[in-house]
Amino acid sequence: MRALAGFELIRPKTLVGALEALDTLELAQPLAGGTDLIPTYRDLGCRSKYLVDLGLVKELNGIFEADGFIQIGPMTTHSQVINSSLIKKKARALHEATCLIGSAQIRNRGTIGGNLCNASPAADTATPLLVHDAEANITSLDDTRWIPLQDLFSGPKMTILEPDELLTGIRLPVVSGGSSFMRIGRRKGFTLSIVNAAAYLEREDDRVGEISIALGSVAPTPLCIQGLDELQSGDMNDGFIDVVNDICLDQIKPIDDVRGTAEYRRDMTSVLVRRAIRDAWTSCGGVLE
Amino acid sequence: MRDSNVYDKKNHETKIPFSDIAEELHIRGESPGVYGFYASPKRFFNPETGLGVNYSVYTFAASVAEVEVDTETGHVEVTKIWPAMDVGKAIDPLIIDGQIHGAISHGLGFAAMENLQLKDGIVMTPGFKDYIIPSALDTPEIDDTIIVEEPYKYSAFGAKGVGEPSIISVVPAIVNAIYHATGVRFSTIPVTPERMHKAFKEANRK
Repeated sequence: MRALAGFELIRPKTLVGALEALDTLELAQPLAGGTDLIPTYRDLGCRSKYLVDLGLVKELNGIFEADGFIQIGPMTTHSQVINSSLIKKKARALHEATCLIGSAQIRNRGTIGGNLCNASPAADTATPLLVHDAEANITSLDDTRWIPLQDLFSGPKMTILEPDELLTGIRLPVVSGGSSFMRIGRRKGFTLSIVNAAAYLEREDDRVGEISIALGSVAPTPLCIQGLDELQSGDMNDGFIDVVNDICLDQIKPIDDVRGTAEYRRDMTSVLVRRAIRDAWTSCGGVLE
Repeated sequence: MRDSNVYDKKNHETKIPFSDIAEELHIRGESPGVYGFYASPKRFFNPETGLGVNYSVYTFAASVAEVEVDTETGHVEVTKIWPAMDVGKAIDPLIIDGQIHGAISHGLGFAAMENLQLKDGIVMTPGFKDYIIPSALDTPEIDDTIIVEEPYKYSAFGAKGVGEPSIISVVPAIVNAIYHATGVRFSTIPVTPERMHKAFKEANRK
């Protein structure tokens, strides 16, 4: 195997150190777990002069609950997310999605922040976070701000991050509803999703209090479906699911690629949306006809 | 040679343990190795009649497959395979099992996943990211291999091949199981979820 060359590795121990490196060095790029970056460099060549490894920055790692939010450090590995009982209990969709990412080796190295900043339209952690109303903390030396996670993505493999900015935190409100994640891949593990879907809903007896749906690999970015607020307090039945499904199909823009055709993606969106809604409903104690 | 002893060809009463011979050879500094040549029996084939003996030895394998098909997504799950093979002589049964388990994984990939896609002569699936092969998670339950030992007279101990031929029956077994489960007959492999789903859609339209 060829060694990767053409860059210098910088390993700051603090967040300020990392931000200073990104601010002062030309053509510097942050490195998280490297599970997307390194294969890209191998295939397309190295385009950065400096790689700023965030692995030693302790303040970017960990999961905790504070002020009504679940806070996740972007350098938290997928394995850490899977082993977190907090995530398993309060953000089930994220737990399930993370379990399906890559292989054990990839999950031990890959990070949630890396998965988001790689900005693949098929990113499996993005859709569960979107339905959980996640926000992203963006930090540079001069400024720090919280934005809705949806606004982080600007296109396929593109984010709004400036070269001197880092994703420094992810937070999601602690909620009472149930969530679910479903995906279609070409085999059971180590594969990019052809389509993935996450659903979140709150139950008020037999009625739906609040519902949100996010879809992956059917648009240039992970997609949070808009306009579901107006459906609140609908009865949970096939008619309701049909209405939600139609709204989803109106907003997706799938394309043909080697993994699947637009037509298949459209059909599978319907299947996954229905399955995810039913699963989220039963996960918060609902009963289906 | 029998039971770790070497016998005199003419006088069958006279024997000496093989270990003694090995020791003696070692002391004299001589190798027990021999070199020799083996020519497989002549093959013949008449292209006009299509008759003849094309291979020096024919191997026979059979498989039974059980599948579950998701009629909404088109995903085919191979749940169990029952393999059987005539290996001539099972010199090492564990190696035979290993070869056959590998062949089942290969066969599953061949039947349901491996899809070389070309566009204007350019391979669109050049790496394992997009050229999908089965992983351990996709491997079905495999029943005990039924080993048949019908010896082949020209080979060592009557052994036949096991590596390559064991793949062949797995593929039609899976495709036939799909037909048995769904009524859809495929003449193109791999049966990807997308092709399966398309076939269901077309069947529903009729």
